[in-house]
Amino acid sequence: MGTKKTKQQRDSIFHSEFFPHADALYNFAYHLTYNEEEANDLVQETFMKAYRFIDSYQEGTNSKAWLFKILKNAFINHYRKRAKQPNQVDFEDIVSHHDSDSEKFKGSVDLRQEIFQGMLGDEISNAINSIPVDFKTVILLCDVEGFTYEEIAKIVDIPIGTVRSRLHRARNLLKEKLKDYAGTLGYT
Amino acid sequence: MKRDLKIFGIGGHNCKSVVEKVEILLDGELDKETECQLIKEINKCPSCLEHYAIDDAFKKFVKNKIDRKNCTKDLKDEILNKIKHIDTESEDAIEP
Ligand SMILES: [Zn+2]
Repeated sequence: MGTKKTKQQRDSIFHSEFFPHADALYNFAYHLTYNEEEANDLVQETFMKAYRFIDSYQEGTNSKAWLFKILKNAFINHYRKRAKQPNQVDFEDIVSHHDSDSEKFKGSVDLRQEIFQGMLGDEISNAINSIPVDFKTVILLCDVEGFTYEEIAKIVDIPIGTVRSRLHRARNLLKEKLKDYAGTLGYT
Repeated sequence: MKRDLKIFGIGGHNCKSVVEKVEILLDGELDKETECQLIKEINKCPSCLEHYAIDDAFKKFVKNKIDRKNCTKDLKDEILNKIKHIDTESEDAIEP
């Protein structure tokens, strides 16, 4: 916990370390919600919180991961409040139940490389949006934003081993979805 | 990340243990030594090589085909404007 900063110091950190991540944060928020309005709100809330709690941020450390964690928590708060769909809320239980070692690497989905070539951004976006949010989150953080497992573990608040197994399961799910799409489009 | 690679030892090639680590390799999460060992194993075996090629293509596909959305200028302006008017002195900051 740092000492209390002046308005000028806060503004300086905000502009040099926080605000440059606005586009990345928006992209993450958009793909979590698939709704521009909600993405706007999440990004605003994230920056407001980041600014207010700037004393607990250590200058020069990983501001991007710090901001993503704030956004992800804001998203979960809204999401848990709003969503009373039991299949979504209970999801974390299902994940931990299935996360046993024996199930971690079930083998991969049979997929051919050519399948990807004919696909459009819309198809991958729809497929990503159709998988459960905990899985979507790790794929977005790893493959789209390029965070390390260690950073993802901190942002999502799960052990590194769980990051690894969840990514594997998430990718397999996504491959299944894409395979279905490819099937309907006649690629397979 | 340090990984125990006994499985590659004396016994020879084991597709399952290679394939399990391909994603971790592509995510750049293996230490150099393990990475080199794994790449050698992958190159030994057409089936592992194919698996690697698919996972590699898949990862690139996800990264490149997802349409990136940027923060609009309006939103940026709105945020900057709000920040300008935040009165931090009156707030008791706690961890976010
Ligand atoms: Zn093999």
